[in-house]
Amino acid sequence: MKALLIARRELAGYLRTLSGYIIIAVILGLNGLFFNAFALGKAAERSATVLSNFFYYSSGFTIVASVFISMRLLAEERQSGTLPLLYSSPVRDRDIVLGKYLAGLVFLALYLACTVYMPLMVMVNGKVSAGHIAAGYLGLLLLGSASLAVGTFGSALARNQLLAAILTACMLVGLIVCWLLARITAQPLSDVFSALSLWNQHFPPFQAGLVHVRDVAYYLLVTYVALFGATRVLEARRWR
Amino acid sequence: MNPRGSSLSSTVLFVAVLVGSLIAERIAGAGTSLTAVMVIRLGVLLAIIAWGAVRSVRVSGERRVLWRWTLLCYGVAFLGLLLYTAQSELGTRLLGSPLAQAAPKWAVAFQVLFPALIVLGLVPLALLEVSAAAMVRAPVLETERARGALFSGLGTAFVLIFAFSAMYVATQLDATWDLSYFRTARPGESMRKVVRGLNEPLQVTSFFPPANDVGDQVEQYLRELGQESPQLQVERLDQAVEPVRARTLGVTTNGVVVFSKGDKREVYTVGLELDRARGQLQRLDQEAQRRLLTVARPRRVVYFTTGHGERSDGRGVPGETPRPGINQLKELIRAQNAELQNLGASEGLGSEVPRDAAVVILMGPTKEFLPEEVAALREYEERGGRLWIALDPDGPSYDALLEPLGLRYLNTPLANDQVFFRTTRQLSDRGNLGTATFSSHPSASTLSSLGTQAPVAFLSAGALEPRNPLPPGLGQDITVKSHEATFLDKDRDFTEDPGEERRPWPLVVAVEKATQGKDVMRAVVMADSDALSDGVVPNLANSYLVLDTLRWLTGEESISGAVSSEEDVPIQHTREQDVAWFYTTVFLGPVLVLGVGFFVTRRRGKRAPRDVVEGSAR
Repeated sequence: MKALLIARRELAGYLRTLSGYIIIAVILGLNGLFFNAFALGKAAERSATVLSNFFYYSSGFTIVASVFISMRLLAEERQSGTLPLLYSSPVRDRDIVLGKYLAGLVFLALYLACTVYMPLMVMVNGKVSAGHIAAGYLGLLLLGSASLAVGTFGSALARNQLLAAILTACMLVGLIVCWLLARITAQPLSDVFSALSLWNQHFPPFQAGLVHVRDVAYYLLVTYVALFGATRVLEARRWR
Repeated sequence: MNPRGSSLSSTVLFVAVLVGSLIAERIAGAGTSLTAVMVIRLGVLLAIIAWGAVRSVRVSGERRVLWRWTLLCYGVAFLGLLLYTAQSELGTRLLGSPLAQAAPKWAVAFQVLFPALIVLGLVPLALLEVSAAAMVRAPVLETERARGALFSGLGTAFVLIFAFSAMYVATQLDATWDLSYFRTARPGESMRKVVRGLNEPLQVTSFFPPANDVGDQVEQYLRELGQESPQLQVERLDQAVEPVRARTLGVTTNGVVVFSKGDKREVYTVGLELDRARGQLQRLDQEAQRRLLTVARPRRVVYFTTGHGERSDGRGVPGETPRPGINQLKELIRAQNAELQNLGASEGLGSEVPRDAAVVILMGPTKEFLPEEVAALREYEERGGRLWIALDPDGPSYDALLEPLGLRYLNTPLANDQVFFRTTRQLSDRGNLGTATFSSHPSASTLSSLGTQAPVAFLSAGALEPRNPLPPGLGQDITVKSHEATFLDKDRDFTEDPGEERRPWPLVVAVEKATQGKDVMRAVVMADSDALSDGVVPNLANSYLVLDTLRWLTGEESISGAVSSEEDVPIQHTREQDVAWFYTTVFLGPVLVLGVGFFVTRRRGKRAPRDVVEGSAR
């Protein structure tokens, strides 16, 4: 699997320099701050509420982390002029995209693994099931995966990292605000927009410890479509 | 290459008309204007396609091939639009009736096909034009590149169609796994003691159909409980199979548990569906105990004094915010098979405390008792009565009542700047004391067994002081003390000043005295009535403080103990815990990550080949 080879090299790029750790530490610190200020709350909250709040705020940080992680994936190669080298290597475009995306996903999973101690603290003090925590993290991982795939697509489109971040943010915001469009449009469009909503429609069940097949399918499909799009963008050099 | 003969302008027009008219449709709403929009759209799009066909005839070579593909995309998108129109108002007018009525299967097929065809037409068209635009200045038009773009567009369109179809199927065939917290309560220590103490047979009959999840959970709980005493007879029946027996117990449906002894019966409805019965199963132990006590034990009468500004009065001081009530406390006491009654001057408190009084509770009075009432209460004590007094720093000191109990109440509030419950994040939170310092006295037995797991909350407590010397024959036990950093906040500024002594202050004192009769006088005095008020009683430790106190006062300390509950509880966190949580989550976690990063990157630096490093230095 050449994609895994690319993923390994890309991941090493994250972990061999301090910058990757700094990104994780900063987002982890902010996540901790929000956990204290809002998830735990002022008054005594029930364990399930605290956990739900934790996943709510973590989902936001996961999306932000995805934008930062994905913006460099392909745009950096293009910016530094190393993309032609990749093109000339004996790997297919889909391996390049998949490898880069997998590296980002593993890095994101590392960040999520670093946050595990927060719900475990709730578990010590309250009544929380491991299943609820697992469901929440599955949701975060799927949401991160979809955001990261959209980011990979944005990174494939953009000429530099900043533009990639802006493009990705625009696309993600577009997907997130679909629920607003669902409110103002008539049937059947409202159903379509509602189903397309990245967060409002599909993440809250995970927050509550519920795993729906439709939500898992949605995130996997968004990931697939976005990665397919990114591959097509790379292939476009042949006909553009 | 000559840019003339390019299809870009007609493509832009085609897409603009298609999208613009769909928006115009929304604005038009319904009726003639909507039909007009649709007719105009179809007409204009047909004209564009016809114009394109004419152009494709005029051009030659590769450009003609490109035009052919473009027209194919136009045609597919137009076909999609026709399918959409067939279901619209215009379609209804043309067909004479709505398509959904005339041919429902076709209507569904059209509904699915029209967006798919529009996507299949427009996405390849877009990429085809991008490809053609890139070759606009090329000397020769490369149809292979255009073909690549077309196929790429087709692939993308098919992937989009697949994604939407798969999402639709996943939504229709949705399956759900609920992984949120759920566990059926197991028999708690208190419930086991109650069952062990049974001296007459008591039947527990559960009515559930066979192989019912809820029934199995209930049966497991009851079977475990049945092992505690042969007096408890547990049975599971199906109401549909045993309707006569069910009727004798007053049961008409499955999903209930009946506790019966003689003609006394108590029913607990659990339900049959696990999802809906979760709450009932989580509270099974406390609900079962409540009903078991009702059936197995005699009902006791608990009196609440009234007429002195007590919390139960419900009459706040005019112009002041009313104090929190004690409805939750009353509910908790009722659950222990007690009947609650008021006792004021109109009920005869001025002459005598009723003979059937199991306990008399003075819940945060704000006015002094009349001398006659004090005399009646003293006389009640002398005959082996049971008193429960909860005071507030803002009320009087009740020397007349407390002196015979060997106590003095300091009307100065206590505060603690180290261990307190945060509610408003203001300085005044320091008055919300939290303590886990308990004696082994029976009136705090459950609390002492739970220890630091269950800190009791006292909001704006005063302090109690034992008198020296104690009245003869009186036994005293300080059952709950404040945290050692608690100080007497004389100036009520929530900060420690000189002369404001820090020490563990007595908050709850249990008093016992042998009397002339066979009964022993028992009293519990609390330095704060807020600890028993609504909103505070649900705190696990406070509810145990209530239960243990009541059981000791009524002589039922033998059944004191933890009640098993699997209900989610609010996470109480003191300031100390807050600080620990804050530093762990905001600093410790990130610092550990940075530490690992620093270690890994530095280690790699050290492992780098020396000659390379030297080479770079040179």
